[in-house]
Parts: sequence; C-alpha cells; structure tokens
Amino acid sequence: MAIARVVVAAEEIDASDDDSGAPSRLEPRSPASTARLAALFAEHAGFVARTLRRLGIPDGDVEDGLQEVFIVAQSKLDRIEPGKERSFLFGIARRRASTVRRSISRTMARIDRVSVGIEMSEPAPDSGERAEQAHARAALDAVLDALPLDLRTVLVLHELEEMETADIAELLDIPLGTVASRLRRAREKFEIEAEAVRDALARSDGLVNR
Amino acid sequence: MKRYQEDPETPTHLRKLLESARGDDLDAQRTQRVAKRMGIAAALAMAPESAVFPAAARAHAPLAKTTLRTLVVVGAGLCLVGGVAGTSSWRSPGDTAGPASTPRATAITSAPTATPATTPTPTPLEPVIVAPQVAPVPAMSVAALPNAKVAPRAAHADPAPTATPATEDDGDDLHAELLALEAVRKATSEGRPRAALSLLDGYAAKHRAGKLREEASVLRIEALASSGDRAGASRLADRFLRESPNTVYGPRVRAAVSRASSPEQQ
Repeated sequence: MAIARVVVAAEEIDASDDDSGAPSRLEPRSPASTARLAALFAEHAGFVARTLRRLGIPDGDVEDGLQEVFIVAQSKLDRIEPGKERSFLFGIARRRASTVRRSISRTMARIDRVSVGIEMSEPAPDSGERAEQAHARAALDAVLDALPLDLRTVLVLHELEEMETADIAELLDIPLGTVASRLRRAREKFEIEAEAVRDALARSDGLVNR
Repeated sequence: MKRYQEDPETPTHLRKLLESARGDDLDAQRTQRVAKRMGIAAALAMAPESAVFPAAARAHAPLAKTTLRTLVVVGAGLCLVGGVAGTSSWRSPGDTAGPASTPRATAITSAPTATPATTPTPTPLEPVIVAPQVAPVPAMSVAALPNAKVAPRAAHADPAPTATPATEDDGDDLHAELLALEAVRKATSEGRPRAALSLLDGYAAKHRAGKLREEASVLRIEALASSGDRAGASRLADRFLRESPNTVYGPRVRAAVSRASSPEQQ
C-alpha cells in the first residue's frame, strides 16, 4: 500500500509542479553525477526523511518519498546552486508531501485517526512506553494534519527541526515577517487542535478502561 | 519566539506531542535500502566518513552537529561543474559498483556550506550515527598546492577532454584532483577568477593525465570569462567544443562565453 500510495500521489502532481516528469530510475548516470548525488544524499537524506514524515507522509511511505525526492534531484543536479542544496531538496520534499496529503482519503476524521492509531498500537506486555510513544506520535499526526501546509511547515521547522526563523525564511525563500506571522498562527491552531486530540484521547481511555 | 520545549510553562500534553517526533529519523537500514535502490550505496560506502553506513551505529542518541558536517562526499563535478560528464554508465536500482562504474568518488571532509545557524540543534533523543574511525582528510589550502608557474593562459597546454581509464591506484589521485578543483570552484564562487586560474595552472601541472581534465577545462573557461579575458575564454571554448563535440558541458561553456561577450560585461 505504501508504494501504491506514493505512485498514485506522483500521478496527481499539478501540471505546474516543477517536479513532474521525474526521470526513470534507469537513466544513465556518470560517475561524477553518482558521486554528487551520493554527497547530497549523505548530507541531506536525514533532513529530507524527517521533513517528509513531519509534513504528513506516513512512516511506511517515507522510504519511497525519500527516493522520489532524490530521483528528482538527480535530474536537476546541474540546476542546484551551491550552498542551496538543502533548500532545493526541501522544496521537492514539500511538494511531494503536499501531493501525498491530497491523495490520502480525508473521510477519516482526525479523531478517528487517533483512535485507529491507538487500536493499531496494541501494546506488548513489556512495551508500555513504546505504545505510549506510538499513541503520542499518532496524535501528533492528527494535530499537524489539521494545519494548512504553510503553517505546518514553519511549525515543524521551528519546533521539531529547531531551526531559527531567519534560517526558515531563507529555506523557504519568504520574508522573515511572514515566517513570524505563520509561526504565530500555527502555534495558535496547534494548541487548539492539541486540546481537541487530548480530549478525544481522554474519552478513548475512559472507554477502554471502563 | 521561545520554542515549546524551551518554555517551562508549556503544557505537558504539548510537550509529549512534540517529543513523540524525535524518532522521525529513518534508521540506517531503511536509509541504506533507499541508497541501494538508487544505485549510490557504493559511492556512499566509499566515503570514509559517511554516516549513512557506519561501522557501528547507535540509535536514540544525539546526531552531532560535527558528524553532520563531515558527511560530504565530493565527487568529480559535484561542486565543480554540474551536469553529466562525457562518459556514462547505466545504473539500475540496487546496483553495487561494478568494474564499469567508477566508485572513485572518494570522500573528503569539506567545509560546511551553510553557516552554523542553519544547522538544526540536535535533540537529545535523535538517533546518532557514528562514523568509523578513520584518519581525517588533511585540510588543504591554496598555499599547500604545489607551486605552479603562472604561464600566460593562451600559451598553457590545456588538458585533453577525455579521461584516462581508471586504474587500481587512482583513488588517491582522484582525491587530490577533487581537492584541487574544489579550491578552484570556491575561488570562482567567491569572485576570485584569477586565483581560480592560478589554481588551475597548479592542477594542470600536477595532474597532466588527470581524470577531471574535462571539468578543469570547463572551470578554466568560466574563470577566464569571469576575469574579463573574453578572447581567451572564447579560444579555449572553441577548442574544447571542437575536441569534444558531444560534451554535456557544451551549453554551460557556450553560456559562459556568451556572458563574457554580453554588453553588461564590457
């Protein structure tokens, strides 16, 4: 399902998306290009993977998403400005996440997703901590899914990637004031949604522990 | 704006939500799988300081800023000249390096390309990947490069565009070439074309049969154009394109000469 979802998402790329027409994985590649791609991967794969995860791509789809991002990057190696590699890759990752989010069914309510996450995280006898962690991560997904992507982006970069606002502005190529404004609105919405999820979790616990 | 994690008044449930994201990194096994599918696992493994395939990996420990900064594998043309070099090889997903490929992309430690402020502060629970213990790549400065006579550019013998076949002992040579041309690229990007040309003279003297002669030629053309030597850039570009009519660097070379000839450059 993970692969199918990403493939479907790729097919739904907007016509204006610069990442459309990503090359086949079998495109000939010189040793120089391979080395350059490997360097980009070594430097930025972790950041790209975290970005994909935190912008809404389910954990099971992150590998495919990571591969898609670097395949696109491979096709545009000569366009990547030195020093702007992370920004370039982030842009691809963000567009991928946006596409995948659109393709994921929205009929499942946010609260239901949290509940399903709890059901799927059947705790093993000695993994109470892991179960709690999984529950919290599923809840975080639900909360972040409620945020528009532009707000979600600045929030995860600031709070989770712990980037400074100036660096976020540079990464996203937007004014610093815009970052500050989006971050303020993102935090407001994040807190509201987190309250809703907390209430739902409390209700679920009440039902389960009756 | 203070982050939630830095604010003692952050409600517990918010703190727990955010802490749950600390495990968002892809573990080494999954990352390696992606690299293999892309056919770059060998290139990554060649990097002595690669943190993607460490000799021993520890999970759930901070990803050190310095470790991140040593994760650069610079291959021929990476930060030197973009695009695809003349020779190419088919790669398929999962390919490991074969004799036809050139896993000569040696790993060097490069200076950070971003300022420290752009590096995210690692959180305590982020997984760490420990690089294997290897001798650090010696830093090289321009002064450390062999002395090269700054011959008149027009009279300097330009290297042939095609690379010689790889041999068993080429790893160190390629490494040295990469370092040399990285310095050239840096000089050019910093607006010092004459320094770049001097470095290229040094490269040509030291690596007469170098594998990156084609890339060096392209960099020389660009440096000549940037320095204002339009005639020299044009002469070299003509020769380069005549000797390598199918080079993938053609558009880039023509663009460099065109820029040098534009009215804005006069």
